[in-house]
Amino acid sequence: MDERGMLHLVHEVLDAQLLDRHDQKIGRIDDLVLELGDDGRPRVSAVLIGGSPRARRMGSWIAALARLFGLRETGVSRVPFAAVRRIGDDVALDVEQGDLSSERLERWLREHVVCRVPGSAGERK
Amino acid sequence: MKKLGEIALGIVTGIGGFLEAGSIATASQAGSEFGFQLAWVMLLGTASLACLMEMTGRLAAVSHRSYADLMRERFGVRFFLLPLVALLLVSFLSLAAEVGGVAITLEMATGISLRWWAIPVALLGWALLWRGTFGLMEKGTAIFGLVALVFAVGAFKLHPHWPDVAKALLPSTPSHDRARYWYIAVSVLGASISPYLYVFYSAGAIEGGWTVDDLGVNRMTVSLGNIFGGALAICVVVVAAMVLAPGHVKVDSFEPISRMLVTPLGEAGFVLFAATLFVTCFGTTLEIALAMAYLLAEGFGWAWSQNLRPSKDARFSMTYTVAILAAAVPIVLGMNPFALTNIAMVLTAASLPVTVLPLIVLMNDRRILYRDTNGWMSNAALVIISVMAIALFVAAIPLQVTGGG
Amino acid sequence: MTNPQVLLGELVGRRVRDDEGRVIGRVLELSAEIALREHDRDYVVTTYHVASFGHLDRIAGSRFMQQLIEMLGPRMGCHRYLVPWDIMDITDPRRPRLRRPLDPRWHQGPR
Repeated sequence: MDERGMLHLVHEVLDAQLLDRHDQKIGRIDDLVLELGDDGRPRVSAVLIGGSPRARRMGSWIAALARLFGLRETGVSRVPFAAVRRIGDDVALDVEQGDLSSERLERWLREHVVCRVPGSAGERK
Repeated sequence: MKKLGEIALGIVTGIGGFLEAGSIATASQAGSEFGFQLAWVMLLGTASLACLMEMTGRLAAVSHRSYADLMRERFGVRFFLLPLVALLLVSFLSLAAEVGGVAITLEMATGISLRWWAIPVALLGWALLWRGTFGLMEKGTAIFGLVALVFAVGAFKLHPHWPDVAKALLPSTPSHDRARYWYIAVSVLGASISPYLYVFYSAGAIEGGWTVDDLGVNRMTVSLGNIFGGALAICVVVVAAMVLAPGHVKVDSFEPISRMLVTPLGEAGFVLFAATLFVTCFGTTLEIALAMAYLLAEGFGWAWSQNLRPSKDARFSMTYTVAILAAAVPIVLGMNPFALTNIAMVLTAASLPVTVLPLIVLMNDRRILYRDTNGWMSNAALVIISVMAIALFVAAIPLQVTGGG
Repeated sequence: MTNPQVLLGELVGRRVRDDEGRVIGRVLELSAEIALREHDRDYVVTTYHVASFGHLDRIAGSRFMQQLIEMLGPRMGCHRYLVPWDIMDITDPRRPRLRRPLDPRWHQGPR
């Protein structure tokens, strides 16, 4: 945010690192949903993480490939912008990592692979 | 006091860290085929690397975000795919070459084929990454890496005509075998300026919690570490030039390289070489696997840190796990580590533009670096390195075809 | 009745045309401010930053090239227009258009 309290959507929000309620990393902002109000003024309505929004920004052919491989909409997290607690170096959201479908892979790997290997549990090494 | 300790660690890391399968192989080829003549390329590569490391270190210290992080954030995911894919591919080849390097030393020591050693080596590396902290890895590879000083000892004991070596630090053109000369020059540059090095350094600065106050430490560490490391690499060239060049020994595997130090140091030279190759390749294996994981994790916003238990950063941990285990596969399948090393070095050189050019924008962005953006000297260096990177991109593949052994 | 929604990712970097169809630049940035409403505070878009690259527009397709050119740009005549939100029509984010002719007061000199 600059001196006049203006938020720069591309520089400060798009592609920014996201943090959850406990300041854990939960991915990056892959896209922003702008809703055109009754007066036509765009309002920042939601944050999109993962899945096809990310594939689309990588390039139209990657998006097509992703669809071919069955990338479903369920891998996408859509978080209302009202859940933003703080915008600084990172964007902190008032969400739990466990509630985000974009973090599915992290949870699956943790449960089914990582935790089966000795020495993986605990907080810090 | 703590800062002095950090600088000392940086120097020691530079000593062993600079040498690995690629730099040992390319320096030996350079020395055996062209004497001291290619020493200037070593100097150029070292100086370029030092500049790039200082810059990515400064980025991390001032903005508290690593280079990969900033590339994704400032240029978007679409542009980020370019350095991401290039770096993952090239790093994977280098990783396989390093695993091969470690496996070869075990073959030298035991007589058992390196194809059997590849997977145990990968598993050992993985175990260290899984359980070890960043600091432990850093200090461990630094201390053990000191064995690489054997090349300096060997070089001095061979009593080269040092003024001739000094003269070779100035650029020169070859009197014979032009394609071969420039091919080796390109490989040397690829071995010296490996992108995983400055990506890793940047992430390491974040792991180490560097801030603006550490900019001096950053500059000192980078300069001194690379001076020592580069000097050691030049010692490898000197040894190869004194021992192998007179007999026109063709270096097409690690075998003749392993016998190089016997001349000045006797059989101990062979043992110490094996130890050096083992330690430096092993340390580099850990570094490359981590660099690949940092790159993906930072680019996509995953939790990451070598100081967290794997359950806290599952995707990050699985990335280095898959990378290091997959890197053993080419060796198990019988790929020649020496050939793999050479190809990895040339492709690394060709890939440089995608990780060097973004720095031109990032290092001059006041919103990221505030008052610590590049001065005119840093920018001049960056432009020269960028031009060199583009030249390498253009020339690398043609030279591989015309000059590759 | 749901309001039309537009993705920022589809808009960023697109060529902006004026009301007569001439290309005036590319969307590089959006400034938003907090508008206090009855229930919530919402961020609403205030200004579109449209960067004009002149004849270099052809190579200004990626965010990297856009920033590189803008960095070197003042010497090459690069500048920005600050277009108020009500002048820009983004109903098709891939083809943003001005609703009125370009106003020279929107011109922001080299930064």
